Amino acid sequence: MIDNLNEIALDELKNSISNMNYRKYRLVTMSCVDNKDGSFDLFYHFDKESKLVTVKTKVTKEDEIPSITDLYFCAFLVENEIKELFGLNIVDIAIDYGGKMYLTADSSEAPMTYGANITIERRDIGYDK
Amino acid sequence: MINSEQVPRSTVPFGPQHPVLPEPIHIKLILEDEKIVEAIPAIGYVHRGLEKLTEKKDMYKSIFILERICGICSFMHALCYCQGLENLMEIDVPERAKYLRVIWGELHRTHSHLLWLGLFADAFGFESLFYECWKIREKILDIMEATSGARVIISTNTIGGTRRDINSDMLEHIKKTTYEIEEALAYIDKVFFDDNTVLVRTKGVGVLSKKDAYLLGAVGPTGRGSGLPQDLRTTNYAAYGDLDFEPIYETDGDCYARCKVRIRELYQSQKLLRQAIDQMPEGEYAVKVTQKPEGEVVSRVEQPRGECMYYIRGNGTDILERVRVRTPTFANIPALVHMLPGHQLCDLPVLVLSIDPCISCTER
Amino acid sequence: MGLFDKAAQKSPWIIHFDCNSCNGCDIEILACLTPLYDVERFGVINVGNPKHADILIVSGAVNQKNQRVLKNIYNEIPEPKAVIAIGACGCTGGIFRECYNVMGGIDTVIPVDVYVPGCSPKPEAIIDGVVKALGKLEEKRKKMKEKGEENPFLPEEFTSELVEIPSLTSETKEPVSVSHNPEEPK
Repeated sequence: MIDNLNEIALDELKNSISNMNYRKYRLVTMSCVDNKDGSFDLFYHFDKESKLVTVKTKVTKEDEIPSITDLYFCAFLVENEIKELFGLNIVDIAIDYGGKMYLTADSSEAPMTYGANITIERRDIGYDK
Repeated sequence: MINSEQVPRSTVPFGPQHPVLPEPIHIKLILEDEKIVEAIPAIGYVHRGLEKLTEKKDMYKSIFILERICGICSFMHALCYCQGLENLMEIDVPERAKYLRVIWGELHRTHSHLLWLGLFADAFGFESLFYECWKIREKILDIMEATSGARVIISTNTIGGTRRDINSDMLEHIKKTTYEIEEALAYIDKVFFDDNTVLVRTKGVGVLSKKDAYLLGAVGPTGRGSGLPQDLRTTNYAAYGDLDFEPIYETDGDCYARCKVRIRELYQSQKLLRQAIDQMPEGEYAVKVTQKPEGEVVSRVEQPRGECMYYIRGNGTDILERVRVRTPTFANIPALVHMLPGHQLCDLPVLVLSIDPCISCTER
Repeated sequence: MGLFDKAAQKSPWIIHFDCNSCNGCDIEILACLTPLYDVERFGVINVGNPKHADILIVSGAVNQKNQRVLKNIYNEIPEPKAVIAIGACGCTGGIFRECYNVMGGIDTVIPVDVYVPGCSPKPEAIIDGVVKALGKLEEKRKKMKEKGEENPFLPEEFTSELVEIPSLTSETKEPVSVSHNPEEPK
């Protein structure tokens, strides 16, 4: 039910984004959703005069996703976030945190993916002692 | 003159614990003498993983989780989420609830902007001004406590309306308070607009051109200070369609302009509050929700700091499949990274605060 | 009682660190300092340097990344010191307890003396917490004196154990910077 949704293949992505850049759209953000079947939906939300336009593409973990930071520098934070939390392979980001922007080395890998090993349990904290 | 190539570079860490910032953000600064040449933000000190938590709780509990993304604009987060789900499930919200949302929303904007003005004054060392701003802000917090029972996180939104009503005595009191706030503001805005010491620290500092602001995706007062008249309240969510207002913007693009936008928005908020109270209809303030969300939706509202976007996907059950939150500070950090190089180290606190950073929003 | 002791007993200087909170508690802590509540009349000052502070106020739950910073700040505060955990998430983890990046309350990392529950606690509650912490500080100071330490403020005479800080080796990956501006120097 998203208005103005264009679905495209991954190899058309860069073309489509540079088209949006040429038409002076502002990048709002990117969203990533795990479809629970190994594929991920990647949304690029654009805005012009308070109208939202969305470009959607489908990717897998193996795909090499080109970064759009050469067109929209402001995408570097969200690309790093998706790279880290979903474990997607986004290449050539302008400021690359090496997949460790939010988490540390001993945290779980790609915690936002479906079935990531997250346990909800009563933890041993000093409060109970 | 020393050739700039001969100046040795040094690295200075700014944060995560810093007296000027109430929140932890770390910025790695590369300096040449006292001049910043490169700034790399390192975030993650407040990352909790709330988006994942919403996939484990049902959609009503998620309201309380999402409100705690940020304590300052908690009402707006709940508003954005509830409006998204209402659009998805095609629920007609009662008119009175829409006006109540405007009232609480504008109260939140007023308290957030006053809070920011205080912190901004503190950033350039004007402590008595900080106290003045926060003194005015307490009036708003008293109203919040009277109408909802809590000072900061008021939790009055729910899917299909609001959880509480405001009675007519209280509405009269709010109206009276808006005049008091305008009076108090008239006293302090002279300092922000005309005082020499303030002007020296803010005018011409951190200039962000209109083109840069647009390309870097700056939103809210940061973008509006650079001449971008983008205000999502003009998309007429809640009851904003019935109210009379124009987006406020300035064209200079420096810290002074961003400050001016926020002070003018404070006056605008008081006018909106009075309009909303005068036009508010009687009636129900919530409807019963029986539908389940299915499909995806994007919802956007204008927070005090700028545009907030929620992407929601439901699968026909109470538990949502995905809630993705894009908060205004997340969009403004690239603008900050762009602004910093070329400024003196002493201007850094003013610059960082001029985008009104909310780190717990950014990292969720 | 010397003048120095008397002064230190009544005017605690606080340092505030936001661990993982939603800002709600932080703005309430700041609100304590502003004219309506005005704790400065009691001599309570919010300082930026841990070496000047007596009381550490922490809001929010602890996560993997900021626990190192928190331990560092705790170790830098001179003896005697007290720690106050503010808010439901500071006490137990609260609403964030089930999140993947949250380890739990403040006491998973450093010893806590006073808990102030609430989401978010009112400024009155926070001030009450500071007053309770003052009593604890006094107890600690007395204990140090009983042990025969002439001046409890000397840094060599640390009595409580230092909290161990995890090593810096694999944990802190520096961000790799690739310049976005082509004509920028190396």
